Amino acid sequence: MHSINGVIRCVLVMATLGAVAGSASADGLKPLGGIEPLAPGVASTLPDKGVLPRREGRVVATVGAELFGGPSSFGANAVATLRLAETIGFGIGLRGATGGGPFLRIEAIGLAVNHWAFIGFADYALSDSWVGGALIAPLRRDTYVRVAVSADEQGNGSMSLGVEYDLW
Amino acid sequence: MVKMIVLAAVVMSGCAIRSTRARDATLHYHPTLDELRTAPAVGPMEPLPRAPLATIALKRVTSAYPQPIGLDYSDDGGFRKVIGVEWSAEELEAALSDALPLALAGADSAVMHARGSIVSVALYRFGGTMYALAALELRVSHEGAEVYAARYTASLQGPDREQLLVALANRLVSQIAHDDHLAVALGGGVR
Repeated sequence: MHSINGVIRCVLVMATLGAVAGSASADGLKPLGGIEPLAPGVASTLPDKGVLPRREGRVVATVGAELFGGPSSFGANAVATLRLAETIGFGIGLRGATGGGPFLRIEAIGLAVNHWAFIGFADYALSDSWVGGALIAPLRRDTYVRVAVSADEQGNGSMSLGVEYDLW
Repeated sequence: MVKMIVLAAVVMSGCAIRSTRARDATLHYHPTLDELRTAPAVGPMEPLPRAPLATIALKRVTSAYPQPIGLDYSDDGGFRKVIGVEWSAEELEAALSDALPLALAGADSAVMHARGSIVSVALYRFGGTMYALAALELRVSHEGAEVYAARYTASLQGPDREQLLVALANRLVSQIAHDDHLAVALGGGVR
């Protein structure tokens, strides 16, 4: 039974990893350039500015996938977060690892400048909990890299590397 | 212990700081920074096609772009600072004024006339990298009536301002010289 649960968790986490990677590649922008026909004799207007990153908004919904590892644990997280002003977040996640499972994530005490952010977070699960800090750096329009260090209740540390994608 | 830390984090979430002073990094009439970053790097100069459309003469190239044309940032990171303002692109205008007549070949037999207008120039520096975009409108008239109009847009990135703008001008001229619709509008042209 435990192994079936583990397989299901792994499938869910891997599906999220794939979905985030797919979304991140979907926001690929084409190089600006080319020939645009205009109506002869009619004044033209310049093209509108492109779509700004969703993170410019006050509240964004973000999905992310993270690989983590440490002396006593290794696995992957899939997380969906609602984040206010880039620094205050509340989310739910699924941890694919030994003793993993669903968890709640709270993000706070953040500093965000030009879409680069340092935020503190706490992942709370029934089996175990972690606190840590993350650096989030912009990669492309709605895609971000997240590097984090955290520790569990026993003081075991781990590092994680992940990708975030803003849905709206 | 963890619950206490979580509680403290929630209470202290008022400490969150977010800077919104430098949103998106570009001026409102320019493409976004993400779009500018898609520009290809400056490569070796391609030889310009000479006199591809021998029935058209260029009257002049005018500058009609909003200013300033961009900003200089100290770097590309989160704590970047504006350290300068870009106001004009004389190198681009000079290069276009030199290269465009050659591409359009104002021969004595020219029966059509063209006017070029640089309608947008964006030039942004992030540390050692510059991103540039230029848009040129070309309007061709025959016996006082416009018969063809198009906007040519090119973008590039590179370390050197002058090289970047000259390469940008050449890219625009190359687009015009290879514009099949323009050749058709001119009745076939000479290619």
